[in-house]
Amino acid sequence: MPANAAATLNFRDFYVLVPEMVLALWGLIVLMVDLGLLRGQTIPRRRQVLGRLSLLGTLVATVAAVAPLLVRFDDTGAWEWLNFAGYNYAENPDPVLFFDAISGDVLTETYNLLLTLLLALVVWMSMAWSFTENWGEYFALMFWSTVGMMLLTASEELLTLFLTLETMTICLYLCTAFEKNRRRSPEAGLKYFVYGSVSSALFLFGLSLLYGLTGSTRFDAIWHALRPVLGDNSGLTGNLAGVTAVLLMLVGFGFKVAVVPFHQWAPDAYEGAPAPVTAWIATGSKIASFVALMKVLLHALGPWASPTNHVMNPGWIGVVVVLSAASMTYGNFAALAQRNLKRMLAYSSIAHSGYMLVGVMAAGVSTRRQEAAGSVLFYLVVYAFSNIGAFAVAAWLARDKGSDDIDDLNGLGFRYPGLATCILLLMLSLIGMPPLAGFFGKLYMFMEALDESQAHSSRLTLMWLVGLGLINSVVSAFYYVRVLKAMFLRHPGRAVLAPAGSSLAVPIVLATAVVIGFGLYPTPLLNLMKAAAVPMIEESGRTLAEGQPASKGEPDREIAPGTPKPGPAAEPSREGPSSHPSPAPVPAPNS
Amino acid sequence: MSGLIHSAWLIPFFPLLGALVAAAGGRWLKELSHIPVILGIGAAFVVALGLLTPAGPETTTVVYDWLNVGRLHVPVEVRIDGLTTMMLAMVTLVSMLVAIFAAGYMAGDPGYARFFACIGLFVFSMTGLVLSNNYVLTYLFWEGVGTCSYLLIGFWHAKPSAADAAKKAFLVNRVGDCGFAIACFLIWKYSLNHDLSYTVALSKANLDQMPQGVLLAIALLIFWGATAKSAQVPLYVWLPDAMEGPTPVSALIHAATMVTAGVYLVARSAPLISYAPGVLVVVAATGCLTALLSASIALTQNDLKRVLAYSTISQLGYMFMGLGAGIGEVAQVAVVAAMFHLFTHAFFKALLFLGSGSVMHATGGVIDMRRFRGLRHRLPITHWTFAIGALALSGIPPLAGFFSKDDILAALKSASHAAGSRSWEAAYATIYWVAVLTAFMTAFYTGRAYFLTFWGPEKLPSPDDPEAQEEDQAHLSHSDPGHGAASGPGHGGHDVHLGHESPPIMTIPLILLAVGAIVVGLIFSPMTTGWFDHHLEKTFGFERLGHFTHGHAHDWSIPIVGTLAGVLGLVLSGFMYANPSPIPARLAHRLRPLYQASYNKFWVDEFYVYTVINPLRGLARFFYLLDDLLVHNLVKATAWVPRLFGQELLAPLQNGLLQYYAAVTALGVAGLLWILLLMK
Amino acid sequence: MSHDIPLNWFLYFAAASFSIGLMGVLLRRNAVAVLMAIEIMLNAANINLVAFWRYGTPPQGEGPLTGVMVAIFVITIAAAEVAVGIGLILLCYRRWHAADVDRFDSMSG
Repeated sequence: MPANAAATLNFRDFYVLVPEMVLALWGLIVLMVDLGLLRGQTIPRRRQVLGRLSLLGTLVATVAAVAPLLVRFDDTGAWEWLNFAGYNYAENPDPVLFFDAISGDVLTETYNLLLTLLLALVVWMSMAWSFTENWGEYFALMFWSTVGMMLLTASEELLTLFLTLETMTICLYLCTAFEKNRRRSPEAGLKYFVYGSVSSALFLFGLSLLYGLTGSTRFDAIWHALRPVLGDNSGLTGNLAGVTAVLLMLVGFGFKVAVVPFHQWAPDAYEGAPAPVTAWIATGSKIASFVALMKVLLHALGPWASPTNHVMNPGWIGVVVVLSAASMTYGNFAALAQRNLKRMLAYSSIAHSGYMLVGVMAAGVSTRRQEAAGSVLFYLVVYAFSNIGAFAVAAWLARDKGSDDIDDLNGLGFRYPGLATCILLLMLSLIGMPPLAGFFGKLYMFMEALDESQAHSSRLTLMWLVGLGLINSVVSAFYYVRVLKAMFLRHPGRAVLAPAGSSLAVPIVLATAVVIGFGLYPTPLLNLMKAAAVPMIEESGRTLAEGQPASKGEPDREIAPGTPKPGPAAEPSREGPSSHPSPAPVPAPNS
Repeated sequence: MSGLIHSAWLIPFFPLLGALVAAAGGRWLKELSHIPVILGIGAAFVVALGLLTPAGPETTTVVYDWLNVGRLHVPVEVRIDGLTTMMLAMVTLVSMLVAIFAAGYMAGDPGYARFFACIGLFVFSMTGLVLSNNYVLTYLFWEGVGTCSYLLIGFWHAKPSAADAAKKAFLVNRVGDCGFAIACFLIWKYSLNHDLSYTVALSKANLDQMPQGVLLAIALLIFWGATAKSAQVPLYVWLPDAMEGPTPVSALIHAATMVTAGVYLVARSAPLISYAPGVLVVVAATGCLTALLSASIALTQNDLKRVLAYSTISQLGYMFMGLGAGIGEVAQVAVVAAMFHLFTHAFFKALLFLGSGSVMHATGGVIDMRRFRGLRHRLPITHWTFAIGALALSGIPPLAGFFSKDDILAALKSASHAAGSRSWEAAYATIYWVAVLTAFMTAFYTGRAYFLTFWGPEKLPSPDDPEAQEEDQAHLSHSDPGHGAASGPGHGGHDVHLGHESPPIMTIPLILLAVGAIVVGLIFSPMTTGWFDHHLEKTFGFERLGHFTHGHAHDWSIPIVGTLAGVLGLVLSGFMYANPSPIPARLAHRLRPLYQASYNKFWVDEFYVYTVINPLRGLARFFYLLDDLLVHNLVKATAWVPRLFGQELLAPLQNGLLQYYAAVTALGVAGLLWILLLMK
Repeated sequence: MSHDIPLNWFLYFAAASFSIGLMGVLLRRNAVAVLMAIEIMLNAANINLVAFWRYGTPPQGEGPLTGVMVAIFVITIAAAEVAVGIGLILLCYRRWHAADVDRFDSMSG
């Protein structure tokens, strides 16, 4: 962990940030082109020109995002090619950049790439029809929200995290309200905004408490500060400020990833927003927030997971279990009653958050934490692509029918067999049918959750959770199949949708290709995700290099009481018993 | 060479690519849709030929790591040993010839592109099945083969009989798949490291550590799976109906891609099955029963393709007899003999089916042998190639069928000396003599089909035939050009030029297959060069199969008996059917019960109807009532409860009011805080 | 000097204003008032941050100004939020001719 004294900026710091910079600048370019060159042009023309320009921007950003995965610079500026196939994280320790504010590790790099690719699909989808007049602003905001997402996955400390979280959501609040000629769009924007602001205020309050308890905002420092609390094995017992801090921060994340009971904005915002924006909220915003959630919970707050690895102990594990079970069940059952495709997908995305929290919990208690966290990251990728495809269908409906009724898909299978087959595959992947990627996502995650290496006490809970998850998968089949039923079993009553056109067909087909590809060959992605998961696990990663075994094979993975870990050079001097964090830090004895 | 081994995955890939191109581009390719598929299969054949030399018992290569979850590890790994390469070369060659034939046969069919896409997929599945190095992948492709057969048998799905046949094939195969699946589970459970690859599952160390009962169960279950796919008693009933598909499909199913899968699986698992000697006797007895039963049915059928279908079942019975003879030191010889029969059979059976397709082409889709005769002058090429196929099937030296049939008879005879216990030796001796009897019957019905079709006074089908009327009444839409494109290759246009030889695109595959049927026996037989058995010895686990330690003198009585049976059958059939004669009718009258039994296929279908289908139907009716009264309402309730749950319970929670949402959040936090503080 | 007022007082004050803000969000009908209440919540967190910074010692390797820096950033973010919020409220006002949050309930279920 570089101390302040040694920290300087160098070329490498900026190298990793190039995609973000490209996107931020490109947003400005798009805006200026719209205001300057395209003034007075018709709306569809501006849409087409700006859309193509934006696609070019995402392309440039994609190239910039691929580069750090292929070529790596070290501190001195020397560079080397990376062997992508045999990627070994241990040989490529992650750098922490910009004075420990953000990381430039595999996780960041892969998710940067993922986000730029998803953004390209969303931009493509946006070109389908004119749902707004302000195209320059729209594309610029989409770019800037993506910058927020990328930095969010990269953030290594709470201030950066909060800042990027806000960058991302403020842009998305505005995008949600962009379909100004319809009533529901501004309403959705306002709801999203108020709910989001309240939850970020709650998050910020939790953040301030955590800062007070640990004296730092950096994940690593927080982890080090919380670690001695385990010495007495009490976890969060009686620590009112700690409990409040954890809970309030969970609200902030729970809002972003839409878990029960912090989900209620989601159906309304999803329904009201233009379909491409909905797609971006459901995928980009969600996966970025989920990564940040995992980083905070598994890394910074890792010591507060649970003092004895038992679920029924004070610690965030118990909360996550409750949230996970509630989200899965509520999301799926509420989705059953929906006739509106976007609302249905909103509830299903709540349910998917529930599944993924099972993986987070497994990563919190398992001895195979890296694998468990990697399986969640894998699930996120698959989830993102399948949902982009599904929302492209919603965009299709919105373009041709102006509604989102599932019934409007009637007879699609007869009229457009190719695209309908793609949608069929996407839905099957969302249900989790082999051999599609969705199946492997669930399989990996649930297998990791059921792994025998879990502590016995939490295994039972995990088994129940996985059981609930499986039952819920069955329930979810009902509403996904409703889409298929409409497409293939019903005859088109009214006029069928017009041909999709490339702007809608391409996202659907590409998403399907990804879902099939990672179904037939999931291993490379899984290995990459396992490697990417290393830095978010607290005892491995940076501190692993100092001789601490990543896992001791013991069910109770926590370090024995009273033996503080030999931290970095500066560490022991600070961690005397006197600085034992209590709800409030010890007042400074000076003056 | 090793580079070639790593590219073995190309063999299934090329046909798949062809299928995808045909499926995606069918709209534009139209009448050219066969080209990508034929090219794909051809390329696969070339690669398969290249793999023949580098094949070795331990040669495997991992294409990629597919599934690696917890304790289930399934890489996509291919095995290139003697058995695999032999199968690959045979499957791709025969499929290619069939596909070329089909390009002529299917011309003008509205589903032309769909047909070739399915053919490509079929070959993809079959080659994948043969190549894969673990039971899971084999199982996946096994299912793929089943699915493709469903698609192809029901190709003319507008025809009810075709749709029914496809359904029947699929359902009967499911019964067998179930056995294979359970076998896979058992192997996973008991194998070392839960490894499902052949390299581990069939290794000596692994087989030694498996409990005897489990081995027995696995062997029986694998055989169970094979009986369905390879049409053995009691699950053979789907195969005769499968000829409802286009004739090239029948050729493909009967010769190359489908029914051989079961034989292949049993041969592949031979090291495992040889650990359970009791199962071998079961295998041999089942094969024997099947061979006899289906041969006796074939004696009286009037439908040319049906005769051939029953002969396939009978020949598959032969192969299983061969596999089952693999007891003690006969094991290796027996498996090789069975595989050799599979190999030669592929050539002459594909030839015979394509020949019958050529006949149908000339008769406008009519295949009832009572409605045409004496076609030898009108269809010279078809006639000669069919004759060669018939001779090969009858086991007349020096054609292919003679050598392989002789090998199986020799294996059975050896088994009757080497089985160990007296009762088993008696069993194998019985099976041997039944096999000889079957050989005679085979020659007889093959000769009958041949003479009825090509000899006697020339006659072409006309709508005035009494059989045509009868047929029309029996099943309205069977094989009559009058019913349009939905039946047979007749697309209306065939009425005009009936009785013409097929175009070269159809006759050239016939000639090539005929050449194969003549020479493959001579070239590869253990009796002559022994190339075939040397190649198969390069198969994993086969070196552990018992083989003759001391020199084994060839018993010359066997080929003599076999040839005699064949010649006798042919001569008798020629005597009875070459020219119209009253003998067959008189004989049928004299032996009326037997004739009726054979003609009605021993009422096996009816037996199934009464014992399986009707009880099931009764049960189904019961369940329907139950369903109607109870489940229907339950389902209504289950559909209603979530809706109730969703609409009445959850929807009010989502009331659209922002501050209500915020309050829920705040209450949620409070509730969680309370839970956390209560936890101690 | 700092001993005159104990840290707890600041914390109580922050918690109280946070609760007041939350109540405002939950109970006020006017969207602008809701926005103001959100600002109060953010500022309550700011008080926390600054108080913790003033009363705590920064751990080794930590910059000396963390709490203040966070607070300053939060102030800017709050400004951005207000701008966006007012914009959205105006947009809704044009449609509904009202700024009452309980009027905006066209989507539910």
